[in-house]
Amino acid sequence: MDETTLIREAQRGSLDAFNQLVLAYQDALFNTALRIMGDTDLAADATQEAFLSAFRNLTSFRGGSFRAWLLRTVTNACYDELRRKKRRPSLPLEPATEEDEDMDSPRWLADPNPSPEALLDQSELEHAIQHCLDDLPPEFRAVIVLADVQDLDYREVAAALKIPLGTIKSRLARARLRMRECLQSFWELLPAAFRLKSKGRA
Amino acid sequence: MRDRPSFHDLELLSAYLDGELREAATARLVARLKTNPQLQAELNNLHQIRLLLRNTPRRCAPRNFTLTPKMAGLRAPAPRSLPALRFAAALATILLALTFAVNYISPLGAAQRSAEVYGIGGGEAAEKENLLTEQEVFVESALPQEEYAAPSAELGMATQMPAMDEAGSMPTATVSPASEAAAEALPPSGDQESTAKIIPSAWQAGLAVFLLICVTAIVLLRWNAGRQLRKRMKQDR
Repeated sequence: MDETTLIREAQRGSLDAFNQLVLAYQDALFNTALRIMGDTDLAADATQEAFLSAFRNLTSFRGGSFRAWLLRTVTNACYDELRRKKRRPSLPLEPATEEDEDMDSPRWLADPNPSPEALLDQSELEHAIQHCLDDLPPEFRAVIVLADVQDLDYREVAAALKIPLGTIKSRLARARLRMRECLQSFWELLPAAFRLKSKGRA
Repeated sequence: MRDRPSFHDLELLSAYLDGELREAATARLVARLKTNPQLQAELNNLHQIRLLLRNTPRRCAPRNFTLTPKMAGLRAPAPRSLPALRFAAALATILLALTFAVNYISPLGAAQRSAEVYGIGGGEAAEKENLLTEQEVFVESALPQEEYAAPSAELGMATQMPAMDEAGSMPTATVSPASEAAAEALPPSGDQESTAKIIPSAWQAGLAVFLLICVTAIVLLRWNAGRQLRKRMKQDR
């Protein structure tokens, strides 16, 4: 069954059709929530809440990009969660207890002289990016996550966030500028990782 | 020519990077890029940032986020007769409560009216009480004076009463006229037994049975609707 048919069936009340859409989009929604919330558990909560909200409000979808429509619900769920928590998610700077040492932790912060292997560690790069994303205000973070992480075009981002196109352009430029300034401090630590990523791309 | 690009320049570069710049603006920017190395460096930086973010590892969802019927708030469609049954059950409950209330209040009302007749209240019952008192005084006057302290004015009035003819029998009859007068002092509805129920018990029993039938019907209909929904969900799969 194609997506249009699934959406139509789901709008008629078919939970089975809706769940097929959930399976198709849950990775994208979870990743968006993860980059906005910076925490796996909170991202899972926001994702579940987003799908619940989407099912209840499915009749309000009148066509266009269903992906953008779903990403809007997850962004709103993230905003609600952030307001509820009233905190800005951030990675812990050091393990809370000795038992946490084996968990993912930003070793590049604890260790001023990382090994070459650590410099190329994908998880370190991911941590650096997430750290800088967490430093952005939520409204800027949402724009850059949708535009650059989820690869939506400006119109889709504007539709997802319900803000004007001009605001999208401005916020995206500012967010990229702040990301660059934040990542500048890691460039010296992770030059190889950055070089590998930019090699061969236009 | 500015050494450092302004924020407006950065906005133009960002939009140009995403192909969101209009043709005329694109042409102007491309011309500037050829002659401004700092502008070109900024464009490269923005390009790198976008590349990093696009290549951020994509995590798989930690679990399935599919919805269950309970989560989705799906309920079995209510049968059409359900609202009428609910209304009937509510009405029966109210009527049943009213019957109990009326039956409870009516004996209490009778008890209060009885108390008024015997001197607690006033009005018509009190006038009859005065008449009785006068009659009693007339009778009492036949008894030894030192036992009674009745006023002489009342004694004088009592001598003019027709009841004088019955003076001989009054001492023993003082109780029965008083009780008869007390009975007369009650309103007509008080002629009924003070402990009798206004609403018969049979009516209350009938209302209770009707209420029970309505509640049973509601429960059965909802159970059947839920069973049909579960059957339909299984068929969808």
